[in-house]
Amino acid sequence: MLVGKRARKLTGKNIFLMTAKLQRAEQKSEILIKPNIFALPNQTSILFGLVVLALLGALVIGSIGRSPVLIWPLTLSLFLLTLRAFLSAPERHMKRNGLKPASTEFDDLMQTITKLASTSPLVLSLVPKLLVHDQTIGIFTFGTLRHWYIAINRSDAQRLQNDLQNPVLSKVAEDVLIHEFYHFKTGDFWQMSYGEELLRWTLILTGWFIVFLLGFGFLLIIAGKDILESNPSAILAQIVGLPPETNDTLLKLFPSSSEMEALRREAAGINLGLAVNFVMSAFLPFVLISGVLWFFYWPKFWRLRELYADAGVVHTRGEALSIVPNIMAIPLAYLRADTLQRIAQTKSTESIISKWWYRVRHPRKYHYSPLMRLKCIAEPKLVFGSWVDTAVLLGTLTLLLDILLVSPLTLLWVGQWPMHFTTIVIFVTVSLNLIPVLVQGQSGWSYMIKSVTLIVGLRFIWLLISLALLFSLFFFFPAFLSDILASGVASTAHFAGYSTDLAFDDLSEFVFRASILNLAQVFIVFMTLLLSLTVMITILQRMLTWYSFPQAKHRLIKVAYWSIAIATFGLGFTVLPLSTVLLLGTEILHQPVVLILASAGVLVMTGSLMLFLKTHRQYSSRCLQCGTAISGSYTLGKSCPACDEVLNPWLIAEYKL
Amino acid sequence: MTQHKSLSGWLTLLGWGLILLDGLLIFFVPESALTTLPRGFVFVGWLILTSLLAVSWLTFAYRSHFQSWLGWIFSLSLMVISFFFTMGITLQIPSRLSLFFAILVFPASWLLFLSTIILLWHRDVGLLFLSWIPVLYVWSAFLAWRYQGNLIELWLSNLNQADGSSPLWWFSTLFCLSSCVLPIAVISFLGHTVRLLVREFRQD
Repeated sequence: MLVGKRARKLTGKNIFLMTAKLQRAEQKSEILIKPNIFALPNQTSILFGLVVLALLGALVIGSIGRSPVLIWPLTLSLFLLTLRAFLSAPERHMKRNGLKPASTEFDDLMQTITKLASTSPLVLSLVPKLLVHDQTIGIFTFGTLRHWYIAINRSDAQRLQNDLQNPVLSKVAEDVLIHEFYHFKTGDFWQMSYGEELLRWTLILTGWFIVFLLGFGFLLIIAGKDILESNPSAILAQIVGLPPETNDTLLKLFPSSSEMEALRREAAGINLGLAVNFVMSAFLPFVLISGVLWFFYWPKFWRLRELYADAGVVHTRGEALSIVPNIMAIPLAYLRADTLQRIAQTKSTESIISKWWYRVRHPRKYHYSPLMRLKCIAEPKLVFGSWVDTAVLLGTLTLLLDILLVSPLTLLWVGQWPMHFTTIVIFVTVSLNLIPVLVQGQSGWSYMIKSVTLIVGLRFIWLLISLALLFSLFFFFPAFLSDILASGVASTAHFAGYSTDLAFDDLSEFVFRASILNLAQVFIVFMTLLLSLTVMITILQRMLTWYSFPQAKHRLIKVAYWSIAIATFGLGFTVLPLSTVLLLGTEILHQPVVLILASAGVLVMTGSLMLFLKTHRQYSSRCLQCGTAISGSYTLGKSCPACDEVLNPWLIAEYKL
Repeated sequence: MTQHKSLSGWLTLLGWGLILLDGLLIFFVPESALTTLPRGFVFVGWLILTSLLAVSWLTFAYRSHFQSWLGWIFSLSLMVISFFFTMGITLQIPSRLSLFFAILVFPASWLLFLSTIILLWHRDVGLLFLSWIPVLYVWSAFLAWRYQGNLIELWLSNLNQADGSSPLWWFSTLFCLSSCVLPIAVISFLGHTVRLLVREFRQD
């Protein structure tokens, strides 16, 4: 989008800014309006949140609901061990890569780091420590919440230090450092570390549980039979020289004959196949899904964070062209003066297939292709991805969640609250992604309808495939289906203690009821999402017109986050329970806790809506500078018709291409 | 410094000397010293005490070798071998070899204990022991039950056996291993956790 040169109102505070702008405007006749990606929801944080939620959320649900095995120790262990591994990660990094604190040899470099860390607009809360190594890997950042490190190869550090002394090259060296600093500024360094530890520990812990429980189960089965059939008196008689009184005392420690008989009957009911099936179906999904997240989702996180770091350098310098070669190692000669502008103005010709093919060919690459990185600097909205990207990511993730949530550990909870978890995840993520869409003046409705349709559509296709398989078996191989259900669904429930009846007497009732419930669920989830996101779009659109809101630069996005949080609260505690009652006809609303939370949801939403309307009346559609009423919805770069003051200026990235 | 070094060197020499002396005593002491009760008691007491003292000093002197897994695996192997030749198979001929391995159980277990302390002091791997030793117990018990039969019966029938050998020698080894390792692993895990937390909250 191109707009003409604008003049700012001549107030004292604006004179300096305006002069600088005029100087730049003299050099360029027009500027591109680009969204400030740092003022909008951070995509790496959203992706991090989704991965954490997928794994920890599923376990938390298993812990709060009724579960056949005590799952909360696993949840607590996973949380604490991940946290512990996260805290110890820097130590392991240092040991593995032979990282050492930089000696006085690199004093100049360290001084530059200290100076740059406090340079506006960067201003880091901590100064990262410099570590050097002799490995072939280049510069990278890592750390915990309170300890930040930049690691660099010794020869690179030497070169960087020399470049800093050179007036021609010092800017290049500084740009490299600023790029790394933005990993700290956005917080992606700790998210990456925590996320990787979470994925690693999910694999380790669930793997351990499988190995241990299988061994324990086998032992119980093989030893339990022998133990239960043994005679305590005969056992004690074998111990030579045991005094009679000790013998009597020891005999009392064994269960009585009637208790032994009851235990024998219980043990006879245990089926080894069912035990193995239960353990595998309870824990294997976690192993598989953490593997999928690691291989397919996490690389996106690595690449996205680099886009933010690139953008950080450009934001700090206020221009892009001379920065690009420094941070991407692309020779300046390669770029013509108008390369970035041409990229920004050219519609993307890279198809989804070619984008995915690049990702398949470079699965573990830390950076997007140089072209993509250039495009994201020229056109920052690309960082947010298209609606297809978001929908495919969310759709596949919710499918994975569906698989996770039907494990025996969470089956009962999901049976009671079938739509909650995934609906809330979709709602929050789409709402957050709607903010940049609305800021750029694009149609939120179109984005929302297309995204929700594709996300729910993916689940629907999966459901249709499952139902087609179910019906095929029902009509052509009913006995086989009955066996599968008995050994799959029912045996899990039986082994978990939910059901003692393994037979599926009325197969048709089960098949039809399950189909209708699942199909109805898809429809209800779709409608609930459409309605709640419609409300969200209305709220966010209006919020963006609060031009006179005090300290809007810092507070407006927080208000948006709070609105999403409150809407999620209402959705989770009021709307979805009512939908569940409609779907299942259960009497969950008779439960006092559910009723209290549903009422709380109504109260919170009503109170928040009143507060929102009051604030909206007070601050909306009025210029902060001259108080003139401004009509229409907000679009990026919109300005006051009276004083030409740019509205919501912090949402615009101020750098030239 | 030089004085310390020379003292340390002398003590190391003394440690090796004691071990050599104990070995020689086991193989060359007259039969009567072993079979006569008060003298046999003193003799065995001497062997255990001196070997423990020697192992303590030598482990300290060669502590850098025990900071890695290799040192720990060496200690574990020594302990398993000593248990195997003491309880796993009965060494009647020569009987001195049997005594040698029986005595070796004490310094080998002590060595494992000390090397675990050193390893866990330098490496935060306590959780590894805490998690895998129970798995080792469960699976070895299951496999033993499968291939050796009823373990309780085996244990009871073995209680009254005179030669001291046992088909459950692996269980004694495992028990000794877990007794040496698990308490230190718990302490190490908690200690390293506290250290990590303190380091995180301390701004240096």
